[in-house]
Amino acid sequence: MDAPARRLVAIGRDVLGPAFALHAHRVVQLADQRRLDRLYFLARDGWLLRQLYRVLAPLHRRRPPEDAYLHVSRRSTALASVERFGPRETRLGVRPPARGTLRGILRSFSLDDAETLALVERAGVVELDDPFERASDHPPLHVLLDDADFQTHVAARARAARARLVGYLRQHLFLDGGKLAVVDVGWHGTIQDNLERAVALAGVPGAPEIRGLYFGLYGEDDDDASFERKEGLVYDQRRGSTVTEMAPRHFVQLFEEAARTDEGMTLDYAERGENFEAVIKNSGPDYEAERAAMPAIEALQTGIFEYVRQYAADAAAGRAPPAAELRVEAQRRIERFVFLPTADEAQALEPLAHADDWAEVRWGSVAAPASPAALLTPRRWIDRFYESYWKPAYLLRTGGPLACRLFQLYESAKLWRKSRARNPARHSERR
Amino acid sequence: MPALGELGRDVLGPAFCLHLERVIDRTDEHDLDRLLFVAREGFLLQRAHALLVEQLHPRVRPAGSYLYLSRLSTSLASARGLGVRELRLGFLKQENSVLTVLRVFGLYDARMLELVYEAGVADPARPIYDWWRSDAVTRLLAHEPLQREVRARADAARSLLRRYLAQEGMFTSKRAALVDIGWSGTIQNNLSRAFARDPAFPDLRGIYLGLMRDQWQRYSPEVRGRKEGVLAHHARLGRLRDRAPFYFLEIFEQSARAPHGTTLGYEEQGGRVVPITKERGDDRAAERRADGAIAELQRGVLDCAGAWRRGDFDREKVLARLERFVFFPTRRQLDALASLHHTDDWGFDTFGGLVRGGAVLRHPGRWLDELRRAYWKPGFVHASGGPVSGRVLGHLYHAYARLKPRPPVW
Repeated sequence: MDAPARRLVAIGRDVLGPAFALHAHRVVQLADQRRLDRLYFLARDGWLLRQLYRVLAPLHRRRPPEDAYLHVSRRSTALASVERFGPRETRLGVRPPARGTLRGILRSFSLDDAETLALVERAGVVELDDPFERASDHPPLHVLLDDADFQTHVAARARAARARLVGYLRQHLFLDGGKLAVVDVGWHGTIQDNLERAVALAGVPGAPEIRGLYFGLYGEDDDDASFERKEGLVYDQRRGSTVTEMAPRHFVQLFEEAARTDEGMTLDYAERGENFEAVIKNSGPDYEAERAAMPAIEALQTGIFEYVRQYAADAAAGRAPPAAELRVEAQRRIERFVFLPTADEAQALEPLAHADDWAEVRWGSVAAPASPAALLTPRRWIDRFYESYWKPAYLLRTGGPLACRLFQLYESAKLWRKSRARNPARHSERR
Repeated sequence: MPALGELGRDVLGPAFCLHLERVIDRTDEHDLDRLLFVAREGFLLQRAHALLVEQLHPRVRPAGSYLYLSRLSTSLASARGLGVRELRLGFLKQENSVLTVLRVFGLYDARMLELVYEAGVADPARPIYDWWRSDAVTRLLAHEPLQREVRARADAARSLLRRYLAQEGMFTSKRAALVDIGWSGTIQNNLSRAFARDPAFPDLRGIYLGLMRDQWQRYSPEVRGRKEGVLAHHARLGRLRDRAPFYFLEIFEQSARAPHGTTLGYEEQGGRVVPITKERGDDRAAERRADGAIAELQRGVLDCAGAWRRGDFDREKVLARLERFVFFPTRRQLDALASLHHTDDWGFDTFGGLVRGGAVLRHPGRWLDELRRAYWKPGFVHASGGPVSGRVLGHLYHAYARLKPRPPVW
């Protein structure tokens, strides 16, 4: 094993290992407590989560639930979840920091085909690629959403997509009732939302109540009703808006990449004979970039497995720390790594390429190379800072460790201010 | 002459007359066969127009009507359901709740509330700060029984409004123009949208005193290119002088308005459709208290119209007078305008005085908040100080406004 691979194994073992061990152990405990009948690990990050869960499965105190791997993605479930194309759909189709475009929104719902685009044009909307900051102020989008022909067309497409998705889910016993949970890295539980909506809209009788067990859970709104059915086992925004609890949000790609398998993302479902099969993306430059990153991912996963196997042995022998204690330690390690990485760590992650599961034509290294010379062109520096998947690594490479520390302090202050604005009473009590 | 009369004759009168001179010119150019003076500002505009016609001897003298229209009375007729457009308009209002949306479209009643609850909106009075992210909005858009009810009511409102407009001669016209103070031209938007598929609906233009930018217009082929802002226009904002009218929109609205209340809707009486105006409430009482002052202003404007000669004033001269008044009002003018109030033609009961001041040194934070909310910001700044300090603050605000490329209302 060469030096970069050894560094990745060390990151997997020492940085990510405790957090993934905690997640797997909590899945075991919650499955017992809630008497869950089935666990569905969601593609693609669910691949590692399932393997780790199986390492810890002997810790079950009752009959373990059945577990399965489900080929779903935000993209493959999005259109099926549409009742009427509206603000919710446009929110899902815009992924900051990138600015939204109409074409991007349509593509997220597999609606960028010639037939749909002709309808869009007929509605008088031609600005498909004009970027916008706020969907609520973008006239072409509103005109499209109020166009009856477009809505009728989308509703028909959504019904067909729902039929395919429901067929696939039925085949995997997902609709057989009982208590089930989906297990994924996170972060908002969009796939769970889509599945719930699609199943409800399809009017499936006796559909199960779906719970979500996530590595990390973050919401845009404090009062998101769907959060009642979701839990973040390592990170959960409801435990407090501190920079420690929020650290993964500053590098979500690390966890998604570390947990994924080598298959492409799920795009849709196709009916073959009496079966429904997942349509998996298996070509394109983003797919090739992901394939090229697999050796690095395997090295990370080797380290994670090392830690989790040892943890499983310790837990079986009653030597493992309690969950609360392990969470503090796991969060401390991840916060340090995310905000204050070393140059070696940033370099080690360079081979990782991220492409999101909306099958966008956008991908890139999670830690792109940069140097202090970037500061000579401030505007370009700012653009690249915002584009970076891992901002502290970019700061480290262009401004040094002090820049990383300042960024951490800034984020900390920002969260404190936000929390104070939301709950002034709590802050005044503390004083 | 009292201060308000002078203000009407020397400052506002030239502005209105220049606007109406353009109306007369456009009547000829576009061969308009009907001028529609829109309530409530059309009250003064129609009278001043009649005087100008006598002075300028135009070749074409089309029929004119005074139409009881408001944004509220035309909004539901323009809807085809409660879509994204309607929600955006509803959430523009300051209170930002589902109830606001209902009120803006005249849909605030027990049956609609029942449908809102049925759609899954538990608290329609709850403020919604980001409507685009609101779960309530998604529920309203997707609830078919509610949409069906809105469509039915919109059809009924359209039918009633059409009868009223036909009664006033609008549907016998081929080429008509709305004459109004303007700013957005929402009533023109609503009418054009409501009757876009009606073959008898005339080619409708809007000739306004001022016109703000409307990024949504590109998507209304019925009104695109059919609006004109004579004195103030969003495409000509290079100098502060060009932007000056936007710093005190309410003075034009208040000084031109009719003595009746805003139009809430229409009803049938003895085979005719008659407008329902708002004649009760604290806001209406505040308006009535200002009737004397407004009559004084209007006397001044009509004096100006009676003596109007083409070429006496050009846009530059009118704007120079307006800029001076808007940014450097005299103490006499401030005192005289104290009785005027801003009210709302969406049927809300909210109102507020046009001239108010605040304690800048004692509560600077509160003063800035009040300045942000003030209808006439330069007036607020002047009224916040004494004769000298008010002047100093006014100069500071004027310098700030010169640097600011856009007016406060945008």
